[in-house]
Amino acid sequence: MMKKILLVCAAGMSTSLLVNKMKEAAQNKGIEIEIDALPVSEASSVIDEVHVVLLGPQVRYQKSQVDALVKGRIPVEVIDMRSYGIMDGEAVLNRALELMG
Amino acid sequence: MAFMSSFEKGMEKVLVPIATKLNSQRHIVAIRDAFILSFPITMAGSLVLLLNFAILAPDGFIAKILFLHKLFPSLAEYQSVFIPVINGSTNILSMFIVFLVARNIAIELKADDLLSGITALSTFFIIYPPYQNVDGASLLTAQWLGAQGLFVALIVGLLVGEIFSRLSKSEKLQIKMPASVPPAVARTFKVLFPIIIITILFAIANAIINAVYPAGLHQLIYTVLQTPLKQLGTSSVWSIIILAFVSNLLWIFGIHGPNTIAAIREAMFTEANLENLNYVAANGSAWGAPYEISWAINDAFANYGGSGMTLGLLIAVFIVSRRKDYRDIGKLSLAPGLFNINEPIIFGLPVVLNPILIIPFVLAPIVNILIGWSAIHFGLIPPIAYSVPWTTPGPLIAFLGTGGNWLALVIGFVCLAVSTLIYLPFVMAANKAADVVQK
Repeated sequence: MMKKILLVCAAGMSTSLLVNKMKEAAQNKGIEIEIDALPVSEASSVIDEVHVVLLGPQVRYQKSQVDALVKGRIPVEVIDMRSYGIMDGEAVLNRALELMG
Repeated sequence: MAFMSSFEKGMEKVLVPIATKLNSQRHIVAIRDAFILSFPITMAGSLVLLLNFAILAPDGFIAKILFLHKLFPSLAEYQSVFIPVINGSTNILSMFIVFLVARNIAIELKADDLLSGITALSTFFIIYPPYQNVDGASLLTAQWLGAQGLFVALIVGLLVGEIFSRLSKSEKLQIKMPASVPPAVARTFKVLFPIIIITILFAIANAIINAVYPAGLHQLIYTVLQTPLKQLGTSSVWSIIILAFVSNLLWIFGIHGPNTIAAIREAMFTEANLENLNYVAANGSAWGAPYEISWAINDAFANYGGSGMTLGLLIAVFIVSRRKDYRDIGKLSLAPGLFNINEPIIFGLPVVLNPILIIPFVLAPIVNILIGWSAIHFGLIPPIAYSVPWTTPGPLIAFLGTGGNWLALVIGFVCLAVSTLIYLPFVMAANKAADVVQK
């Protein structure tokens, strides 16, 4: 089954930049993976279909909200500020792969 | 640096829980998301009006550039065609809001969200001022459907959302249908009693309030709640400065500021924004719009590049920074920065917890708000009366927001230059500090 990563931020705008970088990185590695960005208010609708949730550091205070949604079923983590800032798609992708095991 | 990290830990301990509360408290979230969801509708209305006057009015800025009125002399007559668009957007905003707030609450409480929203809309009209018979026609006032009914919409949406979600979960109130009944039918019967209870409750409350206060519930809430809050927001430029300060301060700790203050900001300024827009719809010009102070000032003059006026920071980096890491982040941040998205520069440079850069990050927007406000206050440019999407590149928001005032565009560029000048010395200092740390 294809793995799915969900990125969450305030409006889904800046994370969508990171999503593109992550997709590039995945292509270079030859990995097939689905990556999406959504605002937290819309995350609940797809959360049952994804395998890991990463939060933008600017909405790290919403982690408890996401934790409550996933109930420990999948890993939830806040993206490292530095990797987020320099839009390091590869580093974030690697971390996501690590979290999914 | 030791001071900074203990300061950081202290602030993190204080600020993150507050931001968490504000951003996860379900009533605040319901209100915030209702405004976010209704945003495209109000924005569409605003843009249609803007284009209408810019192209069709004889003194519209596009008409002037293209000499449209020399080519098509009867063009102005068609302005009335597009005015009704506003009747379908901002003039009925309260109806959208009451539905969306109740829907959002029900989603959060895992109840039937659409029926919760519809019930709230129904309740909104149960407590609405009654029909009046004028010359045989039955008329309902439009007064409370738009901006002025906003607080009633918020309160009804919250109350109905809560009551509906709770009542509809009670087993005792559900009418059980045999398994052979189609689910769509069973769904309506499930919530029939909760809806009846809510409508009766509000009908009674309405009757009592009308007996005590004959002008009615809408007038009461408008006078007691909405007007004072609106005045708090629009009577002095300090309200904008303080809100911008808080919002930018939150970013310094890496917390999304605008999102955190969205609910209070919208409650304070939405009516003023819509009244300005209605004024434009009626008069065809932003000059003389009733509210010179509104949150639009921040977007039009102090939010270029995103929170903290970081377009000025980017330009400053390109001018003085010799450091490769700064220039690389600058290049990466330029494209999103033009559309006021600045997470890359905030987290990448970083601005977050950077003891030097946080000073201009807070200071530049305040200076720019004062410049923009002064230009409006002293009559150089009209108030920012048109709503323009916040992702519009910097000075264009000032230009379009005033209905195409060229001086507003110039003042926008002045604000950009001033913010660059404010950032310059701090970028130099931050570079020196980074060099020292590396050695």
